[in-house]
Amino acid sequence: MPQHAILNLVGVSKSYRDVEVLQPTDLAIEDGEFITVLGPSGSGKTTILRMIGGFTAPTSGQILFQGRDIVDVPTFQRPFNTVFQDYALFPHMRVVDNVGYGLRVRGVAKAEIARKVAEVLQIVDLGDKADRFPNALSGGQRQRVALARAIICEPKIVLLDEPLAALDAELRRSMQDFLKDLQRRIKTTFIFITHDQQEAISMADRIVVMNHGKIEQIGSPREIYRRPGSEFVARFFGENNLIPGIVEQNAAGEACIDSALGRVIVPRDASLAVGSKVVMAVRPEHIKLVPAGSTVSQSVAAEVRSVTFLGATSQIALTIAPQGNFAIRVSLPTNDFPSLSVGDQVVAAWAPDDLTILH
Amino acid sequence: MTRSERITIAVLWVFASFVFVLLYGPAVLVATLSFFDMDRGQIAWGSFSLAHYASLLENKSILAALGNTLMVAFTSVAIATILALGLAYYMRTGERRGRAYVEFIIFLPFVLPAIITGISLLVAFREVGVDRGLTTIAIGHIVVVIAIIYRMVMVRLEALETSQLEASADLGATQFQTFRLVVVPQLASAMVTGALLAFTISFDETLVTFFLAGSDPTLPLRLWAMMRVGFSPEINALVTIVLLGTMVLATLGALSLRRGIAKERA
Repeated sequence: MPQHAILNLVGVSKSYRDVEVLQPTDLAIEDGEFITVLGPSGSGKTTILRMIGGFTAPTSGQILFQGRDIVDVPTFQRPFNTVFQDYALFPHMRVVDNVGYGLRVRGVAKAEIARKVAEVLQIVDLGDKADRFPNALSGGQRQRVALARAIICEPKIVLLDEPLAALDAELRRSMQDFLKDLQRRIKTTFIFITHDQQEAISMADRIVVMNHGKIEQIGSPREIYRRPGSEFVARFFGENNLIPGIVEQNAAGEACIDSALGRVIVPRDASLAVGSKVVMAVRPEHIKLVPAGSTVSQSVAAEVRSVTFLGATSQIALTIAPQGNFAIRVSLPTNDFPSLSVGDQVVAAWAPDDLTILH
Repeated sequence: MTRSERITIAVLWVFASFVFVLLYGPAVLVATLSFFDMDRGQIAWGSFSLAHYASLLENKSILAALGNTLMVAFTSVAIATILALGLAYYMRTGERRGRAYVEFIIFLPFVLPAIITGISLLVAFREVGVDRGLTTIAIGHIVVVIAIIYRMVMVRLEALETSQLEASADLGATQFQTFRLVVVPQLASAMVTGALLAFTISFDETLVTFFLAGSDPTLPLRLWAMMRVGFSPEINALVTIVLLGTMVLATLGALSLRRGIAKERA
């Protein structure tokens, strides 16, 4: 257990009757980090958040906050605040009363509440909307009221349950920047739940990828992008070409895999047993096209099947020549190959380091 | 507008007027009669006065009956509202086993023939040894009206997102603070509407009351008893006053309901 972890989930699981929505899970959350829990619906990500918030009790395991088990501490005594997916603003209260609610129920003096509310509304840039009712606000404004309400009590952890899901694309982007900036400013741990991998990449210090009630991989956005730990992560997290193969040999500093791309050399890895089946992942942008006839050690001859113009980049579908029916996708800067067209013979090349073996 | 359309509209007007006369004619007649005397089956138009109202104020037995009715209505509605609110909140704030059965049992007296409710309560009170009186009437009325208030409150509670309760707890509120600051304010209009409806039901409840009344009659019972000896003209004054009161209550109820709906939509 790292010394600086503010929150530790130890063997936490959740079952409803005999359906296990979260398998026993360990997770250490560090103080002050922006951690994103990413996964499709039903992956258990919201369950984790609800158990930290105290809305759902775990079936087993411990939740340690600063080393102390808080499983039996009721929600209203936990030093965390939540931004709900539907914002959950109180419709009968004005913005000021919504934001000041947490202080009011703690018995803070009225003048002090007014001062802090004004301060927090300034931070979320809603100073002029203080006397409005929630239903007179736009989606983005409600979102910021919910945020202001969650940070006013200076929680040790802010829990965010897909708070941007209901906003349109442009507003989402600006709210992402805003949230990230706010988190740096108030130096508070943020646990952010989302099913949007783009959102996770752009905001998180660390990402926890979940699927089927368990954690698939934990790492920085860069690590997870470069080195997906499983086939699910490789598929879910950005685009990937997945290439099946069989390990031919594994010695002398490198391994050799017979695959749809021909004989592929990868760095030696003790876990690769000769004869075993593996899946390799390679990103579309990590495949280069070199002119036909070039001899590059890690390459394969291919034919262009389609070219999709996407603006700055183009997406090119290739059919690998010897196999005939194995297709890979390549993403290239449009300007590099202005005249590429369907039917062209090319050679696709890659660097051994850009291949990731999935176990 | 074509000829046939004009005829259709004219016919509809006649129908509508007929319905209105049927609905409100007797009431208007009674109100009129409360200001005039009758002379050989004719209204004596020259006799306008408030004399009937004055003699109503003299009629101690009717005033006492009215007082009993109001007292029973206020007490039973107040108690039923509190019970319905507590029960509805309890049912809403968790997976409660047997909720469907409990709701069925609450609604039963509302749809059951009043005579059954009345007799069962009468037998029950006698077995327990409670003497009939205003208290037994009030209890009977609670049984009858609790369903309507419960329903009104529950509909509003169902619309209240669970996340509101969670958000309140998340922000540090105790259960009671959540109830007082988040739940009750949002239920206020439903409670007022339910209470007003219940009040009108309790006000003219006769059958159940009949079985449970002791020596103090409520207004409907008193009027019913008077039918045998014939009405005196001050009854017209009384009916007019009750009519006015009912209209005011109904208007208030409709306004409160509409405010609730408007809030819901916003």
